[in-house]
Amino acid sequence: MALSGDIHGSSREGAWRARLTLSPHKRTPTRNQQRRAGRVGVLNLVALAAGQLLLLVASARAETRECLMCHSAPTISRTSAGSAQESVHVDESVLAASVHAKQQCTDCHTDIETVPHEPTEQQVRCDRCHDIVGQMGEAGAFGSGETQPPLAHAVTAPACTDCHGTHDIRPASDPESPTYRMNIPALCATCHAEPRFRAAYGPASGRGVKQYRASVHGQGLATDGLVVAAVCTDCHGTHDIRKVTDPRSPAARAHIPNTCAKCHVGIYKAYVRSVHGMASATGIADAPVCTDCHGEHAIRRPTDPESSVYPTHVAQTCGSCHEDETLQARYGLPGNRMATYLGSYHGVASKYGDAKVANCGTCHGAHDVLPSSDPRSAVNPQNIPRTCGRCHPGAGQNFALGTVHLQPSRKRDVGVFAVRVFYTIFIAALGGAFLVHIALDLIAWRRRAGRKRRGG
Amino acid sequence: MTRDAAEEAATTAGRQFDRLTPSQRGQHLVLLVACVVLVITGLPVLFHGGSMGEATVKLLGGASVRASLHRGGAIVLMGLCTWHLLYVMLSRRAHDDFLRVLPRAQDLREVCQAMRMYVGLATQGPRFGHFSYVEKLQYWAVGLGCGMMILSGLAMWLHDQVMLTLPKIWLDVAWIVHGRGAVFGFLAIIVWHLYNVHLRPGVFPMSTVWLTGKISEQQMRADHALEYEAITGAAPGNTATGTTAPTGPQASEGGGAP
Repeated sequence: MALSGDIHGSSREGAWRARLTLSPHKRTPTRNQQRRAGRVGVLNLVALAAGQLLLLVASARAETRECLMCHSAPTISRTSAGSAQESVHVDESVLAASVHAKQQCTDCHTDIETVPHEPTEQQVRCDRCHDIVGQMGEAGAFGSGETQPPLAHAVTAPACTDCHGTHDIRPASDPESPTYRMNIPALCATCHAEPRFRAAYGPASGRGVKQYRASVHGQGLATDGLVVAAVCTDCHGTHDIRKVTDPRSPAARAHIPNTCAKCHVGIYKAYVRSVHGMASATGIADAPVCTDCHGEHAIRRPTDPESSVYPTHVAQTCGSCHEDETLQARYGLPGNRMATYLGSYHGVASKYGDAKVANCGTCHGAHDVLPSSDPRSAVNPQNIPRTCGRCHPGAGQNFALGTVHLQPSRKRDVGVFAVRVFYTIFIAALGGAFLVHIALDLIAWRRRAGRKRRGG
Repeated sequence: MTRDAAEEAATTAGRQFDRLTPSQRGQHLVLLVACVVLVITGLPVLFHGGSMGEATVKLLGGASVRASLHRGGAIVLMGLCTWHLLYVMLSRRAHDDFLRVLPRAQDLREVCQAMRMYVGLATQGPRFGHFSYVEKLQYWAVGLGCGMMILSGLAMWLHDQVMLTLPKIWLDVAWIVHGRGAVFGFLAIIVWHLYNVHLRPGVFPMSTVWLTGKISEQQMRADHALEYEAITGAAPGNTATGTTAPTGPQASEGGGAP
């Protein structure tokens, strides 16, 4: 192990040594006595003058200056045992712009006591000053690898510096900081879009980043420059990020409505009054939360044709639960809703891409959906004229007379059923008669042709 | 061969009888186009379960284009029906044709005669006048079918106005009537009409009446023996079915008028 770079010229070496001896930050007399030992030369006098000048100008930064004597050299590097050469260069201007500009190097690099020093293996401990680090180690997904079995894969959990930087560390409010809101997706993507990350956690693990970038949140941030658009940390947390399967995660199923409500307050208020919201609040895990309809990372604007709640996709989205026979049986949901919708003009037009035609949400409501038995429901018979009237001007009570999800059978919608049966029989009979007549005609023609050949 | 003999031979072999007026042929052509447009733009709604409908709608240019085209076809069809009704009421020739296409007891007798011939109880089929029962069936199927389709179609088109006075079940019925009626109309054209004017022995590959408006003497004697005798004064029996041409009792063109 050795220091290397362009600082090995003997005269310059002497110069920094001389300055160091004059450092005002003397940790212990013993240390300074050691430093002084055998470091006397002509240049020391020059250094003395320079050092005192520094003291006058910026006494608090004097120690940092001492470190920068060596570390500001662009080519300074070290070679640790068994590893490649590694730069230990520190850009003075970067340091000056960082949130720790007023801190001393040794506040973080606590094991450096003498100058010059041997390369150190000791990691910087941010938790000497920052309490948050304690929380991380305690439980978050970014805690230590030992206490978080799922993270004990090939990839190690990130350290403070992986997100916040090192000498260039800036406050999260600084647009230059990697932890500034607009930079967070790119920051998380440095690991989560990485091939090695996907290799360790499976192909799905990296998909979120890609989906987020195309999402309404990602686009809002990147394209529209909306700093309020949700970023990774808004839903997953910051220092206390946990796996979504951990019930304490803000992205855990039970907490999703609250997490989305951090921004979408109005929708949340409608949702908690809905049959879905009430069921979810009572701990029914089957009840849909925001992400079940809107998606997670891939969430899109409802007007986006890719969205799961784009008008022509709503039936499929609602149907993913309401057509599930297990859920129908468990919660007494009426069956055949999707089939009857798709069989109506609304459903057919929607299937063929008509975004104006009614979908489930148009009549039943979306966030405020309630069972039709509830007087507040948009599809309660009392409210049908008003609900239909939103699209059908002048809709009256006639809209409430009859079934919307038509299921013609002997038991219900009998009138329609009778007409259908009559028509089916009529068509079958007449079509059959056509075919029989044609067959008879062809047979008669063959018979005549045969007679003619025989000379008849 | 003298010049007179040659002329006489030419006239005898190629004698043509008027069957469809230019207006009737025009009506038939408009009906053909309207039906093709209506079927192509309508069947995807009826058969919406598979991927065929989706592909068709995509090809047409989307759901709203499909709907507009279908309504455009409907307007053409309604215009055609108006044209036909006015024509029947105002033109003497069309009025006569209309009186002749009205169902009579004679039609039933002709059906019975045809059936007897078909099952081998008779060697001769019925001898028809201007319209055979096959043509009459075609005409009334088209006429009544158009009426049903226009009524039910208009009800659905003007659903908001309809529901001001009628409950929703009427629209549900209109939906069934329109869908089933379309299937029936489709069958009546593909099975009944196309057999009688295209595939039937004697007219194969196609009767040209719908294009020229004329029917040949040979076809006339085979399919409209009574009318032929009435026009030419030929002796009855001279035109017996089965001896002149290999044709059945059906006429060579369907309906004469839409």
